[in-house]
Amino acid sequence: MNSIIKASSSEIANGILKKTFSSEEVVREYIAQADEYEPYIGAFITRTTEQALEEARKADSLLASGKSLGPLHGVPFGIKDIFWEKNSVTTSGSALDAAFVPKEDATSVRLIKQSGGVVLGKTNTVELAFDPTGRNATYGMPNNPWKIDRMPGGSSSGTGAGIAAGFFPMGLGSDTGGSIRIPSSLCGISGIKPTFGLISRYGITPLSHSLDTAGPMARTVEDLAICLNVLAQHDPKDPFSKPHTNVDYTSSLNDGVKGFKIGVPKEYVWDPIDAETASFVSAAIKILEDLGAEIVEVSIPELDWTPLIAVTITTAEAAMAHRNRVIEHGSEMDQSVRRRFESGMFISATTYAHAQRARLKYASALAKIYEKVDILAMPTVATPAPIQQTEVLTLGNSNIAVRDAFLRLTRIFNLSRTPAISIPCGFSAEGLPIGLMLGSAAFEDSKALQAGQAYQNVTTWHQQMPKIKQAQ
Amino acid sequence: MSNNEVNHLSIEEVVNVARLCHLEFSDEELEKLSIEMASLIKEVEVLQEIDTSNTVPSAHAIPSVHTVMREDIPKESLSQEAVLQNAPQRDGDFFRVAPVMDKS
Repeated sequence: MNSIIKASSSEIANGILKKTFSSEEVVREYIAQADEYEPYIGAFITRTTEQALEEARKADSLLASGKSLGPLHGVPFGIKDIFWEKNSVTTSGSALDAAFVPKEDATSVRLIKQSGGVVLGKTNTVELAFDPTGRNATYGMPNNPWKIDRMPGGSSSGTGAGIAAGFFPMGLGSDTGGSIRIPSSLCGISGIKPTFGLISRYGITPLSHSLDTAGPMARTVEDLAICLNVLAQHDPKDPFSKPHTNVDYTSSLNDGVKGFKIGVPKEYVWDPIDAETASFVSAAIKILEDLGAEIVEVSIPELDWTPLIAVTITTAEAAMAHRNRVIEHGSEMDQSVRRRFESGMFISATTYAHAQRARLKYASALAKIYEKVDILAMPTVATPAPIQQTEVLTLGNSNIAVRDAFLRLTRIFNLSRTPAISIPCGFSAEGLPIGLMLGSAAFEDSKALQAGQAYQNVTTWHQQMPKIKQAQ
Repeated sequence: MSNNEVNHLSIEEVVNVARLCHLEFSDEELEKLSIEMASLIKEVEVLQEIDTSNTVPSAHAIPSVHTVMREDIPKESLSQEAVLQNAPQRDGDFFRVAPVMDKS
């Protein structure tokens, strides 16, 4: 049973379905793993152990009577604590919401449960999901399971660290500027920011309404595809939810990349960057070439606008979403997060409107590139996980704030509202994971998954598990 | 605030904007903020240089947004008397409220 902790969600679901093991046995294994290592990691804000065991027993009982709820039947799950869960405390990483108990599930949480997922708890998040490092003044920053003095990345820090540590094989995150892909990269797991509008945001604490997306994080690309099948449903409660597309994200997973054109941007992406990261990502792109893809250099000068547009839109919309909280209870918030919200109030309406128009132009430029290539490939984050106290990184000849270094590349796909996955593609000399990011055109999420699966079919980075040590 | 070489905003400028936003800061916070906001304004100035004149105007920043409102179905409304029951002050059939404009 110990191998269960290393298994993918699909392997676990198949094992439960074939009655190789029960959901209760699986859930108990994950609970035991978290009991042992959670004191060193801090992935959870709230653990719902008894509730999980009860749900697992129900799943087993249903299966005994011949009924399966779906592709996640009996599979343990972690949920970022900005998703509402009925009757469970949902803090949004904030001291102000320490007693908030939603009366209903977020749509995505409901869909996971309806497909048989068993929730093991609510996972750590940056306060109101407004920082990419994983820092949290109230609940603490989770430690990176690969090296516990390192950042896990955020804002979906607990889901990333929890999957890497073997506390659950799959989880939910949200991504406004990289919050799924950054912890996926730094913790050595797989994650997808889907096309904007593909997954409902109903019941998720908002940050930036025109950029927020929700998505799954897991060990493997196959798990992401299975979970996307569950989550990609139209939801009339979310005004930006797109009509249901009836796409089976698993159907083309193993079709390979032969015939794919993979674009590699020549501007913006490769400077500033950590040398090891650049080297591993280049090697990963070469593997995709060896598998039959054609690699082409592409020019997208608009990428230089990425931070300007993203900062303006995100901070203005964040200030709009949480204005009253900041004005009335700012002193009870993480002060660096508070300052970020306040800065959004200094952005004028005309500046915000200009940023949205610039975003449309930016997105059009990327859409034109996707007429020529199937995939855009680049590093997810310009560096492996830094030491937790780091504020400024030196990458090559540049000094860059950690936040800016983390968000620099991931934001590209938030602004274009197109899908992008992050998958592990190597380890630094210090043993820290490095992530490869693969993007595809809007609503062609299956293409990015297909390319990621092709890579994982011939590599083993995603199968590595950290040896968690208290002192390293 | 229009100076292209802004290194910091004046405390008065920060106080003015903060007052409009209903934000309150200590003297120490104002000093820090005047520098931080200058950095933001510098970025915004660069953003303004992006030519968006050929961008198709959109009524909403997100195309093809759909409404989540229910259908507009006419039904009987409250009586005038019922509505006026909520008036803190009443003048005949009208709400009486404090003046919002100067007489001049």
